[in-house]
Amino acid sequence: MSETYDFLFKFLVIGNAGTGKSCLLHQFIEKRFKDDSNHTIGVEFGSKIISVVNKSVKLQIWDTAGQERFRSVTRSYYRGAAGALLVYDITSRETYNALTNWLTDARMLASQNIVIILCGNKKDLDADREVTFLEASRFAQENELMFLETSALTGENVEEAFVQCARKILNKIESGELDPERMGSGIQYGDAALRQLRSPRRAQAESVQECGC
Amino acid sequence: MNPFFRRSQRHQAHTSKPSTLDHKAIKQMILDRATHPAIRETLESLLTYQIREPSSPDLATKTSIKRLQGRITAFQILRSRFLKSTSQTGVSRRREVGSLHLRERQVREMSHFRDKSRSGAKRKGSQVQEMLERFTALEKRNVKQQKQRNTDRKSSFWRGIKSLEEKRTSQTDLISKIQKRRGSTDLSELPQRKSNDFQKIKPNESQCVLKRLPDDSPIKKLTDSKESTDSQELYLPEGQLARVTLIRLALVSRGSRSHYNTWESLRGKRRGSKHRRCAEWCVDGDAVPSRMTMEQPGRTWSSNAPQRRVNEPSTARERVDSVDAYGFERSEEFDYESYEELMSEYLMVLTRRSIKWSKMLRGKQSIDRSMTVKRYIRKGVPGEHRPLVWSVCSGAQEQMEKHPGYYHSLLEKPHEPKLEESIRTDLHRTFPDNVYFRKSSEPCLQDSLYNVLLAYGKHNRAVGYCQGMNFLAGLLLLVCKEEEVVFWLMEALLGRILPDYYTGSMLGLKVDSEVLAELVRLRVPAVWTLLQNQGVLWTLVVSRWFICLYIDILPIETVLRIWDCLFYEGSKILFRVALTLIRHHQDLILQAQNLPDICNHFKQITRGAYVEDCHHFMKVRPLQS
Repeated sequence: MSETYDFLFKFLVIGNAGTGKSCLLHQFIEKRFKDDSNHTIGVEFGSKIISVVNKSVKLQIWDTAGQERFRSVTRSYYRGAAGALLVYDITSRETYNALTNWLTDARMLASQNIVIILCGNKKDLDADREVTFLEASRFAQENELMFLETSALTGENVEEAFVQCARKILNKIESGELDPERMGSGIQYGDAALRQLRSPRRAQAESVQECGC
Repeated sequence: MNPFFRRSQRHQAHTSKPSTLDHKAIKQMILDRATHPAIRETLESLLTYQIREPSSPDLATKTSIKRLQGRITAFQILRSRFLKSTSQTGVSRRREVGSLHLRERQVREMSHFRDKSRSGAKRKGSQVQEMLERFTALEKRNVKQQKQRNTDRKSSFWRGIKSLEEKRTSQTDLISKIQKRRGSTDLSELPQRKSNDFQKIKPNESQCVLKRLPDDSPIKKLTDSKESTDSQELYLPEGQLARVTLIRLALVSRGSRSHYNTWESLRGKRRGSKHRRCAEWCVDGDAVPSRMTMEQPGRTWSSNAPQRRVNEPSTARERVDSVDAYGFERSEEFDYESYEELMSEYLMVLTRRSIKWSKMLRGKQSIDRSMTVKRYIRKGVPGEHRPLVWSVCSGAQEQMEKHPGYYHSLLEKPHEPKLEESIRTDLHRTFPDNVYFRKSSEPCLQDSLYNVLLAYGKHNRAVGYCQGMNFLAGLLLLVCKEEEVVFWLMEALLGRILPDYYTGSMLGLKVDSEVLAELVRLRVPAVWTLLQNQGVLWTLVVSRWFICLYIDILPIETVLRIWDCLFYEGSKILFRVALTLIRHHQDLILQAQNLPDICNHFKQITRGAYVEDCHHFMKVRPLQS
């Protein structure tokens, strides 16, 4: 089976227990809701190729356990992530309150330029909502996060969340803000595109850096 | 490779080569550089000891006769059980009565075969009933003669044991074993039967004769049944002793190379290339007779199979329940055909183990620690004895008796909203595929689960609630039913057997992942190198294995068998299982090109026929190559 893609991004899915991280991932990959899912122990893994702005990007997604104490285990997987989905449950304020912690962890342990999208999951349970769209989007703005409300049950905005995150990373690469060549960037060139893509972008990136000096 | 095939080969080796260590093998092992120094030392002492004390063939024969009689009792009970076929419990077992009937016929044929082997009568399905009657009559007639013979035998047997005891006072293990046997086996209770001719042949001679016999020879079957009982361990204590020592060593040096070396050196040398194909059969020298009884009649039996199926539902899928004995729904991909085949064999094992266990426990509420018990546990604790055996072995029983009412007092303690919340989050995520954990089911185990987890969280604040504990408590509830027992078992498991696995830092888990990595580096270096090159941390692949103690990873029956050992032997069994899985599937794992492949392959290796056949799986040694 030949898999061709231009880029490979390492993604994380983080957030409190029971917010629906695994369901989001499952919906994204399998396009259906996983009804009888177990909680994640340690780390699970999934991957999918999507196409963003005429480029095919392979997402390598690490789905982490949400429970606090598993962080000591999952933290080792943060390193070198290019993007992250930070998930909370709109029907539980507690999961929302924990976001700051998750954010600090991600920024500290993953790559510095990690692109994070905040996902308010369980949008379908609007009746039980405890966190309003407005306050969450304000939080996102303050912390320079993208923001979407998603539903793993209906599939609303799920693909969108991953695609938006990937697009932002691609933009950053285009603009030279992110250097795929740097170790621990969480980005790799796909085999197919390695040669054609590398040289022009490399030159561009260097020129940007020079300007910054 | 077909496991059944392998098994038949194994047992042939067993007949042609005794499972104990002989001088040559020991010498070879001592000379072998790979042998751990400590083991070498033990072996040296063993060798000198063996030279001084050659094993007595006379005693050996006596013991095996006794064992054979025990076996016949088992057969009788089996037969009567199957004939009635009413005593079967559990939904799935009832469904399998069809296959049980076949088994019963097989058992009958076996017993008939034993009788008729000497007179040369031919076996025919229609004559089975008649043969059965004759068998019973024969048995009655023989009782009288046998009684006399047996008294002689018994006294000489114990005389032999006694002299053995005197000579080997330093070998405490052996003695305790013998004493235990003396205490627990009352020969007079065994039904007597005329001894078979082959028993008069000395073991070595009989083996030479056997080699020349065709595979389906009834004599061979009979000898197999003799050979494959675990009797040798009593009368050839050298091998047993070596094993005891090595197991101890293994325990002490947990995680070090020598642990696994022991198994290899012990097994590897015993297995010449000629017998290589069959050596697996004699794990611990106590191969399970039922395997053999299934095996050979199976050949003739399978040819009859189509006719017998006429009155049964047409497919295995219809015959086998879609929910297993523990309430788990079988998945879509479940292979009913091979399951039925497996179960028809395994049910025999279960019944036999059940009889043996009942005999050993005999209303007792305690279990000693001995090699017999260990061996029994390795071969699986019958479901009906599991709650008792688990709680006695782990010390949970003792704790429960010491602290009556403690569990209930915990439940009455003030609320802890955070703990309750985190437990609630996972309630519906515990065994969603199990009917007893459905909201709709009558006694919904979700409530019990909640209670147990809450009580434990209040009891052990350092742990509180950790994901994964819900699986442990859930499985314990399915097995033991009683909340309080489950609570104390949790206490034993988390507090003593697996300390620090579930605490805030999860130190135990991390350490054990590293230990496993090290073991893999030593024993299956190719796999270790692969993971190293791909930058995969071992916690990625094994944290689920260790945290869930293989629940939801391996098939339920296999998990229970692992847990049997876990409660008795401790956490080393977790490494054994992991190493066995990795080693057996190393070719598959090594095909992985990248990280996703590795993850998938590590998931793949926990499924399939290899792990479904729990009885065989539990007998595999991690270092079998």
